[in-house]
Amino acid sequence: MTPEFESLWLAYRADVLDAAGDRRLAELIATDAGARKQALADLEIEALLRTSAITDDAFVRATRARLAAHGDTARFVASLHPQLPARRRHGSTRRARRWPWLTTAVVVAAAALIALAMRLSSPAAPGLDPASSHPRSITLGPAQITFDDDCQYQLIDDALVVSSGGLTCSVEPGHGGFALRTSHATFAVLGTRFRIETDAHTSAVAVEHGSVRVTRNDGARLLVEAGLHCSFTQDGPLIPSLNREACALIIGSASKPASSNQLGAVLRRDGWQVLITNDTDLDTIPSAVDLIIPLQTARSSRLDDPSQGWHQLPVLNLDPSVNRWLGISADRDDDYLDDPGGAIAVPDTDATWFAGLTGTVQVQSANRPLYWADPLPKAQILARVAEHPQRACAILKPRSHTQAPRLFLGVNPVAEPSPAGWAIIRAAAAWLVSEHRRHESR
Amino acid sequence: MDDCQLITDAQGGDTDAFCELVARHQGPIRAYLAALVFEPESVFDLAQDVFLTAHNKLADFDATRDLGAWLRGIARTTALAHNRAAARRTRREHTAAQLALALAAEREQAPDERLTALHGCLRQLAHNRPEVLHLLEQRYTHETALSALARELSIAEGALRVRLLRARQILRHCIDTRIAAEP
Repeated sequence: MTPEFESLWLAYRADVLDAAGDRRLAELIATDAGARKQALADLEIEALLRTSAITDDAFVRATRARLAAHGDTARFVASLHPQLPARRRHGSTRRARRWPWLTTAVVVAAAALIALAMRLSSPAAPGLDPASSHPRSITLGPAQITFDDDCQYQLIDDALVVSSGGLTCSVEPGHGGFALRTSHATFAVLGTRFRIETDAHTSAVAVEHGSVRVTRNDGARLLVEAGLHCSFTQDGPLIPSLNREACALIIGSASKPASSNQLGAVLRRDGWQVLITNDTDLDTIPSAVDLIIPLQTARSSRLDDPSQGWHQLPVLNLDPSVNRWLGISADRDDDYLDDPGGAIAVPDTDATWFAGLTGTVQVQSANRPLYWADPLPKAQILARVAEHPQRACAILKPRSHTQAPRLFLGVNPVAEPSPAGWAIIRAAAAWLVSEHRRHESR
Repeated sequence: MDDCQLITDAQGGDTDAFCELVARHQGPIRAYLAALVFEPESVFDLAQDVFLTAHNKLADFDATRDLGAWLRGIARTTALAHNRAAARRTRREHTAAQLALALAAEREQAPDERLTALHGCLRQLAHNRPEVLHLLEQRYTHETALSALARELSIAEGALRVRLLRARQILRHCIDTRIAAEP
């Protein structure tokens, strides 16, 4: 490759080629046989590598799942109503006998094996039992599936069909091809960790690693990649949004736009991409940001609805007022943010996240109990402000609402923070973003 | 069992028979598509589309004909339609359009043996250039994001893109050499 062509080609593949470069590269490809050959060869090698990375079995599994999704509609609809008798399949034994090697080499569709495992584990069950009798967690081949307690699912032929509730699924990289269905769409998994939730009206997928191909029943398709989620109905828009799990953190702020903007300004100066938005709009955040400052409104219910399930959520709780949102009793008389003269110290961790900052933050090992009045049995202390341990610490607690990010920083915007307070906020932000990125890199 | 019998069974509604046909023909079809589309990440989906189209039209297919040739025909139509749509929607429309034209003109036939040669070259890299193989595996097998991979290697993303380009060039040279050496 000539230097010019290589430069243009790299920019094209990185999607950063400008209009002039685009025209120049197109001219080279059109007129220079050597350049054209190299461009095509590079594309082909990359495609072959991607093709090669997906195992043959995985491809067959995914194709089988899509066939099932577009196949017997009547049976699929019936499957969503467990009280209705569903027709059992009688052909699998015969087919296994006809092609015994096929049962191990090809028909190892994860869903099929799940079906088989289910039937073997409860021989009296017909395989299409009501979901309540199904296990809540399955580890099978490359797929690990954990169902929420209220998840309703069934195994229809070779497809795992989820009619309501949520599940989390991990598939080892390079072993994609696993597929799931809801009443709205098929989710083809390409080696990933993701979560699916569905009810009668909506299906949603949030991808943590890898990617998931959504094929809605009307044929609309979308590739949801890591860091994005998509919530959709049967006929509404099929558009990905920023995955709430991918947000480095959300700074909780109780309806004080001026203070929130001040927070935003400070954190922007630290180099973070900050978005200030209504907390009821968290599902429609259009692009990747580091930090989100949601403004609570009278119609907000995102931050205090305890009925939405339990997930592990690291919370850096810098303000007692946030405790109320989290269901924690605590003294709210003082605001440590006004305390001057704090100094940041990190005595029992090898983290270097606070380099260059001043203030006081003491990071502790996990698994220490909370000592608030109403301790949460699943919570863990991750970090605390040393001089005010009873009012400021990071905890790992069950998530109280589905719209929360995985990382959460609470601050009190009522008080004007002192320089030390700002230092603590900035350090906390850096710490949480760092934790998030460490989690991502794993 | 030969393709003909499987096709007959599949035409009778036997999904397992059709999936066996998928298992037999997916490798060549994916390799064929890999040479026909200029969005490498689309190959998996397009190959599935090919087999779904084939499944829908299977009732009209003469079981005594060459299934592979029929599937390649569907794949070619699918890929060209995809390339046209992709060229329309990309912001780099001039380059994309030229690539679509070039692919259509120069890749009438995609040798399946390139996929076989690729596997041989990857084994060769494991012995000769493990660092190159690691890079390719991280990016294409484990689908590690460029940003994460760059952090792991402590290099800029731009430098990583250059390294990946070099790695693909090494691989391409190996594949070409292997194919040229075959009788």
